[in-house]
Amino acid sequence: MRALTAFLAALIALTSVQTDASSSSLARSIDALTNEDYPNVEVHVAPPIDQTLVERGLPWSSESLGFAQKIISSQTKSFEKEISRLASSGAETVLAVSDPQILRGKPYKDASLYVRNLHPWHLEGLNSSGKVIGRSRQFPSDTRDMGNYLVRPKSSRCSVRLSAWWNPFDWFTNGTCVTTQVSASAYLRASLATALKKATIEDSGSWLVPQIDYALASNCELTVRHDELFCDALTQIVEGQRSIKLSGKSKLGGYSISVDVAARKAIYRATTIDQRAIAKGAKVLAGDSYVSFF
Amino acid sequence: MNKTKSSIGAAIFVVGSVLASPSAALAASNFESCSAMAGSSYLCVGFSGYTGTDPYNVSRFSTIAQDGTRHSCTSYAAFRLFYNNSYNPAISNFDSAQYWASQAVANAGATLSLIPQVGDVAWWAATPTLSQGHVAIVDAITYTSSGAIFSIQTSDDNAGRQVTTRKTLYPGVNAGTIKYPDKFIRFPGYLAGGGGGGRPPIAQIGTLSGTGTN
Repeated sequence: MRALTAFLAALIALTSVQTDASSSSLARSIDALTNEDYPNVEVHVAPPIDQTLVERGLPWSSESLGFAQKIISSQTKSFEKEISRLASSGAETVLAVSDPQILRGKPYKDASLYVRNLHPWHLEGLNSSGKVIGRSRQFPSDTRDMGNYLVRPKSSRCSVRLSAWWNPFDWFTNGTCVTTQVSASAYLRASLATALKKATIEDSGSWLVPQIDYALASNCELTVRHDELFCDALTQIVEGQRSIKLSGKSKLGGYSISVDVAARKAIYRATTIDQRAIAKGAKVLAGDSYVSFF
Repeated sequence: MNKTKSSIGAAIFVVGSVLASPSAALAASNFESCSAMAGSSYLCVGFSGYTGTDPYNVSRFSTIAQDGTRHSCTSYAAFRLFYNNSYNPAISNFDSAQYWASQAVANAGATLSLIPQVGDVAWWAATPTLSQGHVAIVDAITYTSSGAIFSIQTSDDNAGRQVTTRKTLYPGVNAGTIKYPDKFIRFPGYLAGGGGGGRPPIAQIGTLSGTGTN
C-alpha cells in the first residue's frame, strides 16, 4: 500500500507543471496559513509566537538590563558624535531624515506596540543659508532589531547653536539636538518582540504531530509507559526511533500528548511561551553585540 | 570553512543519491535518515562545516542548547547559501522561515518553483502545527527511469529540537517525519559543482529527457 502511495506520488510529480513565480503577489499568498490533516491527532496549538504581545514589566536579568543600557548609551554617544562633526564642519541646523524601512511587512504589523518609528534615519547638516553641507552615517547601525530604533532624534529639526529669537530660521527648529530617552526594559521588550518574529521554533513539540499520527495509523503495537509512546513502526519514518516522549517543557512552550491506545487516537496540547522565564534567562554570550533570549 | 568544502559536500550527496536510489523505491513515508543527538548535534550536517553560526548572522535568533550549541533552520539555510551562492545581504534581514519565500522573491532576487534542484531551499509554509514554517537545503534528488522526481534528500537544523537532521522526502507524500515541502526557493548564483554561478548537473537515474529540470 505504501509502495503504491509512493508510486502515485512519483506520477503526480511527473505530471506537475513547474511554476516559477517571481511575482510578490504569489509569494504573499503562499505565506497564508495552510491546514494539514493529521486525522488521528486532535491538535491544540499555541498562538503563533511572531505576533505574541510581549508584556511590560518582565523580570529582565540584570545582565540583559546592563547590556541594553550600554547599547542605548552607545547609540546616544554615536548620535552626539555625528552632531559634533556636523557642527564643526559649519552646520547650524540639523535635519533627521528617514531612510527606507527595512523591517516591514506582515511580521511587523504590530511594531507600533514597541517602537514609534521603524525607519532608519540619517542626519543632514545645514549651514546658515540652509544648504546641506554634511551628512551622517545611517542609524541605527544594527537595523535588524526593533529595539535599536527607539533611540532617535527628539525632533526632526534641531539647532546646533544657541537659538536666537530674532533669527526667523530658528523659529522652525525645535531646540537642541538630543535623542529620545529610552529605558533598558523598553529596549529589551522591543528586542524580544523582534526575536520572536525572526526565530523559527517548531512550536514546542508540534513537530511530533506527524510522527504520532503515523504511529497511530500504523499497525504497530502501541504501549505507553514512563511518559513515552512506543511503536516499532516509527523506525520507518525516523531512523532508529521507536518511541515519542509525551510531554516536554521549556521557556519556549511546552506540550503534552494524551493517547487513547485502544481507539488509536491522541490529543496534542501546546502551551504558550513563558515570557517571564525568557526575560529572566536573557543573556549576552561572549563576543556577541546583542542579547540572546532563547 | 570555505566554499570548496561545502561544494564537495554537495557533490558527495549528488553522487550518493544516485547510488542509493534503488533502495529508496521501497520507502513510502517521508523518512528521517539522520537525527543528531545532544552532544553531537551538528553530526547530520557535518559535510557542510556548519556549527551553529552563519556569516549572515541569522544565528543571532537561534536557540541556545544547554551545551552552548546554537540551532535554527534559517541559520543553517543562510550558512549553506553563503557558501554555495553569491553573497546576498538581504538574507540578513529575513524573518522566520514562513516569510522566507516572499522575502527571498521580493528582496533577494530569488524565484520559487515546485520542481526542486540541488542547492534550493526547501520551504514549508506556516501551518497550525508548524506556525513559523520551516526551511532546509536540497542536497540530492533522485529520479525514476521516466525522469520524474522520485525523492529529494534534505538537511536542516531545528531550533526546537536543537539538532540537525537529514531527510528523504517524496513528492506528494505528507505522511512521515514531515510533509513534502510546499515550494523550493532558488537563490541567484548557485556556485557548487564548479563555481561561476551556474547550476550543477542534477543526479539522475536512467534516461532523462529534460523532465524535472529548469
